[in-house]
Amino acid sequence: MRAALLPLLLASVLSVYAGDSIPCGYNFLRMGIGFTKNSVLDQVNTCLPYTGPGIGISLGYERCRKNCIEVGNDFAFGTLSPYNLPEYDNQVSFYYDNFYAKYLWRLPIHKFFGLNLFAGPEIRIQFGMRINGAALANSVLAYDFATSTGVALMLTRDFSLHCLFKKAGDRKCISVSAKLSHPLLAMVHTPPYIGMPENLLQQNASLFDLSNHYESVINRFINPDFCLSLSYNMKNGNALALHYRYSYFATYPEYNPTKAAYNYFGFSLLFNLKKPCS
Amino acid sequence: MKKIANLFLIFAGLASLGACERAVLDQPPSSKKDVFNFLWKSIDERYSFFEMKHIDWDSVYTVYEPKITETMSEEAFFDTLSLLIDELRDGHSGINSFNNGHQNVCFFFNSPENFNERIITDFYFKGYGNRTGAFQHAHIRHRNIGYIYYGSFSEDVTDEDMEYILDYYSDAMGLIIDVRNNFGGTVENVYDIACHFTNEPVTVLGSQLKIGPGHEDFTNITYTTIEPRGTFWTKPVIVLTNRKTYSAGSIFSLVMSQMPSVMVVGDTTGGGLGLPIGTELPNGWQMHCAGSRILSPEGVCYELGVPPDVQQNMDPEQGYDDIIEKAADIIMFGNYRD
Repeated sequence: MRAALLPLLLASVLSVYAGDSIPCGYNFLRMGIGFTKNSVLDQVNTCLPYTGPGIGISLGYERCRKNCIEVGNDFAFGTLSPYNLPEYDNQVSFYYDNFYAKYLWRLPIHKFFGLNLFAGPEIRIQFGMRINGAALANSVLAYDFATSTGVALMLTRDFSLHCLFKKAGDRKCISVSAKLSHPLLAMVHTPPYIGMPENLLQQNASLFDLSNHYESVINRFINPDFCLSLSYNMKNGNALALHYRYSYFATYPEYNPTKAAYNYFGFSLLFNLKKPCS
Repeated sequence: MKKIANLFLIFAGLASLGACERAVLDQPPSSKKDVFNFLWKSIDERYSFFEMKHIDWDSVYTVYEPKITETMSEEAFFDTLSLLIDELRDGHSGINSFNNGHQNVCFFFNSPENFNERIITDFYFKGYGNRTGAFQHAHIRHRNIGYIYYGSFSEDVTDEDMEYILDYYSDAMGLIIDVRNNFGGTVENVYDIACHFTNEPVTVLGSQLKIGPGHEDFTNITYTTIEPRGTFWTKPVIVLTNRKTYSAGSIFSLVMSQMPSVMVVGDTTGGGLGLPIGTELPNGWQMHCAGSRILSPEGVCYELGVPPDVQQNMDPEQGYDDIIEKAADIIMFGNYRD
């Protein structure tokens, strides 16, 4: 399903307007807030899929001239309930944090549908934690902590409202960008087999056991991250943006694999830290 | 207009991308047979005392699996799963449905009660005694002994409470710490008490966790050492236990018996030296069972009960508590009163 949707989505982006695109560059500090819809399937102490809403906070820095740098952090929290099982009223609190830094080079195929294409490496640190509200004895915590490096792609397109409304001006005030990334190498920390750390019976023990981890080369940590942004660039150089981010997260340790999907839809203010171009 | 349609297409695509989460939302099969098999397999792969208790879990399957039918009532299904779990003979095992719960309490079946709250209230506390945090306490034997009752390790112990208690009884010949009928709670409270009864680090227990589905797939032993903290109590201490001293209560008995100047009097504890883990079943019910095992520093597992240093039962008809009396005699005279 996802494989079929992604080309459809990208084709939609590509077909918006095939005019000239000459991004003059930007230097944005981004602050955003939004809603999240999250789904998790853990197997440490649950076997049912959980889903529910949450609140997301997004901060970032984006600089783009000839090449692009992007550093950001998305944080989300909320409550999950068993999917499609209303008589079971268990609640799971979830917390999710996603830090990323990427450097993207502009690819020399400028005229590809009039789009600007960028590609480069990305470093990503993600942490997800689920606290089970059920009386499930001592194993009430599930988590995953992944540090990864991978590749990122970005497509951007600037266009004017003139292409939509004939009476509008021809200033290129609308930007659409689509970003896709996936880890290649990853270090993934997951709970031990029964969800308890070996040091649980020590004085001042922690429920986290970072000694339980594995390495992945592409195949044991699946984490495509897709982000689509639609921004309106104001005359003073600042911008308003709508973001949609979809992140699929699947870990494959020896025991208790986890699947998760994070949907984020938010609104951002982008403060331009440089003089606006004309 | 075509451009607007294209934009609409973008956001329609976005909305439908949310459907991708269905990859995460696959429901496990939840017929009664499926639930039974999931429960049996979860216990098979996670329970930690099959070998020690000589439980043939495969034969248990052959007994109970034919009893499961899709037409049986939810209540009958719950009862059958409860009986399956009872085969573990473990107080840390149980099952909860949406409206019902079953806990195996076999650890104190057919054993003397060895505790009478009314006798303690009437004869020793002469009322409710004093209350400091989680502790109920009073002087006994003409103020020569401090008697402390601690009824649940779920009630937190603070350093301030311990310092106050130890100071309050500083003129006594010794302390009696009674954890009879204490079904357990948080292990951290065990350490918060025990750290006052040593002046040097003491290795008090070892632990092993399940790390795989095999019945004997365990980690190597991890030893726990208690560091001394706060006031160090040097006088004799007697810990009282009975069969209803369970889980963290048994751990307390095991830990305190490693301390200098501490003796355990009463009956063998109920055991429960495997920390419970839980999981859901595909129908939303929940089960739990022991997923680890706690050992003495010498490597002995007292899952079936930590024995006392001095065995003493109680005759409730006498109007006083034989176990408290024996502990008091040991503190005051260093021997038994016949």
